[in-house]
Amino acid sequence: MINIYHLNKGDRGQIVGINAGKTLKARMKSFGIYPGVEFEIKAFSLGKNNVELQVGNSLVALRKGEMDKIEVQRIEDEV
Amino acid sequence: MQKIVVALAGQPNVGKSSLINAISDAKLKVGNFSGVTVDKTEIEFKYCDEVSCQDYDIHIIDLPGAYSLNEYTIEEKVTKKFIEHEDYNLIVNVIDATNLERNLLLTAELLETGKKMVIALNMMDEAEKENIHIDSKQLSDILGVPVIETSASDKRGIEALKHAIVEVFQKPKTGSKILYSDVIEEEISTIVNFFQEKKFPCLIPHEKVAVKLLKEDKEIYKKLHDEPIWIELLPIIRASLQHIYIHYGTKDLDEIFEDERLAFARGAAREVQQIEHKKEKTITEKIDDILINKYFGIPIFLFLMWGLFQLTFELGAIPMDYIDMFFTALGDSAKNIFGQGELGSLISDGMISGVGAVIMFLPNILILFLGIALLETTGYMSRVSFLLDGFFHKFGLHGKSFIPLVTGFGCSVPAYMAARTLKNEKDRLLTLFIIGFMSCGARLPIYVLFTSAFFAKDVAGNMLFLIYIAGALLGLGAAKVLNILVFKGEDEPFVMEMPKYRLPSFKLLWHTVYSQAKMYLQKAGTFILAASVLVWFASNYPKYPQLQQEYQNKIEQAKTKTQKTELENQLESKLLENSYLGQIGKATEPFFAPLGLDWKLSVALEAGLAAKEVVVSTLGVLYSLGSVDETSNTLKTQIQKNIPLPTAISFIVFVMIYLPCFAASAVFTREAGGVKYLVYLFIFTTSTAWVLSFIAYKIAGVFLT
Repeated sequence: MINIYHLNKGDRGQIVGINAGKTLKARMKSFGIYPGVEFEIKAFSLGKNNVELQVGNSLVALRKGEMDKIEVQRIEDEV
Repeated sequence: MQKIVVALAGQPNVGKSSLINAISDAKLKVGNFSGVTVDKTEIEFKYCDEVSCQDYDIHIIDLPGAYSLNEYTIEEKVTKKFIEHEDYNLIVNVIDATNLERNLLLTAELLETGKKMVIALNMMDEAEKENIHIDSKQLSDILGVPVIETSASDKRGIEALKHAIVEVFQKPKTGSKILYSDVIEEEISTIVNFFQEKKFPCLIPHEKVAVKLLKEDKEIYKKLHDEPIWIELLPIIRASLQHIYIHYGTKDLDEIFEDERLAFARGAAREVQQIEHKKEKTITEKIDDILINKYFGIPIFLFLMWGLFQLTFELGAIPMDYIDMFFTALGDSAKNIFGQGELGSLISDGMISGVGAVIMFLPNILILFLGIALLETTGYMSRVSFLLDGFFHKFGLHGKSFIPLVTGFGCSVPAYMAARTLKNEKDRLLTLFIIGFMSCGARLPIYVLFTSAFFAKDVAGNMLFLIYIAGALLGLGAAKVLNILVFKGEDEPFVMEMPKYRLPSFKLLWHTVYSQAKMYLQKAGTFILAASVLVWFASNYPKYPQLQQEYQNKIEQAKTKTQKTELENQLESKLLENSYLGQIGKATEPFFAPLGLDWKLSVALEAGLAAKEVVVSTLGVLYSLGSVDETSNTLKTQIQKNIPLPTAISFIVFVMIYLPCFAASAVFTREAGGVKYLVYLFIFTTSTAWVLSFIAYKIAGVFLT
């Protein structure tokens, strides 16, 4: 299984599962981050410490700790 | 005239503040929600309903932005508490048309409360630009409440919104509805049917009661518990919950209802909106490509910060001088009016100079907060945290801590206030605790005096730089230590929206800066006035008429002018030595003795608790030099003569770390949320200062003597 940390800038993916406590899960949900959702990686900060994701029509930033908790699968570009 | 109280709720960055600022002829009130440092804005305006010819007095309370009512942040707690417990007539829910699905999640929660509601579908102009088409009529049908299309920038829908507020207010009931999945709807109707069969009277619709029962809402259980109906209701609820548990495979009702709302929001959004995707990048994406670029992002930010601080402290210094001149003149004229005696001294040296010191910071605060408000309203602030979070997180801080910390190099007062941008309690407290380590401008004269007294001119500058850097590093170290020892436990997660870049509105900027300035003057002003009177008293009392008389005679007999001033200075020094402040200094001498500090330096440090500017002038008085500043050569020579280098180093280290000043302490107390935090800060900084001074003194003693 891979998580967001393993993706690169510009990659698109789909959220498979979130391994977090109840509060964090609810928090992420209120930002539109929950299983089934597709996203795109817009940017990483230095050392991949933080990520900027596009989810739906909004941009959300996460820290490495949160990236590790989100299981994803990569969506390969259609050729 | 009837009064309508409106709770304005919405997610962050949906343009709530801009929207209420767009309502013209409204009276604005700013303040805090009780007990917390969350800004509260209230507006008030009159509205005349042309149909019924009735006048209404509409109060709108702008609630803090909340992504949901989860109580995750202080803002969300305040909003939830208000929505659930305060007395108001209806909710206006502002939603961002460009982000419908996520916004409807909060709407669903608000609908569940069963309160009357109006929806302001805001930012319609932006949605149109992004080719997002929303059928607001259909949305209104789905939600059962009026949906008004609005836009703060072109003032669209403002009148319609006012009208809708009054219309909904006049209606006896709300038509709001939220459609759950079939499983839940079935259980709701079972409960509702039961209520109807029993003809159970109820203030809120039966559907809402049923939903609350299924959500295990404590209050509704408490209320129904004492009703005779309870005995029959109980088995019905139990059966319903069982059905739900089996269907969802979990007994976590919070999660079940979260998912229900999510599905509702998604469903509603898909039904009413059409998005034509464009291939080219949006403006936000284009700007982000530059501003949060891995390599250019940080340099661009540092440049912007440099500019802001130049403006704050260079431009701010101009009015500061005038304010200083004004208050000095005012003090002098007060002495002329009230005489040179006690009253004149109290008013001039105590009150006027104290208040003057507070107002002096106002230009700095205004400029800095204008800058910060610009960073926040344009959406850049979130990018700053994104860029710097990696570094600051290593010390247990947050990316946004950077701004208050750097501001601390200028002045701690605005720095403590700037910490408000940190929304998380732990992040904010930790930042507040270490701001003092960033040496503020008022400490500079002390450093200049001591470095120039002990070091050659070309080295002195480097020493000065070293002092500042050492302070900053100590601060980061202290953050790490506090994070491990005091603010333990798991890290607060970092999940943050990066809002779209927006042009700031002048009205909104003005509003932010105005409310900050007002609060600063109100709170800090009253406290500091009292404190400065106290310091004035401690350094002027008790009086020694005999001693004064003795010196007066000597001065009169003195032949030359130099002798006269020398005697005057001696008198001043003797008076200060015997004042309460001097007595405290002498009494606390044993505390400072291990650091190599004598009573004179102790008094200077204690006077420095009032303001760091006082340290140098106090030293001047104690060394019988009259009024001096850090450039005074005589004071430099006196210090060189009387203070050994290890003692001087110990003194500097102490100055670097201990409490900044009264003004800062007052602001700190307010921002941290209680006097107890000031006590903690005092103990923490003083003990750190003592220990490090002690170490510095001993090490310097070994190497330098």
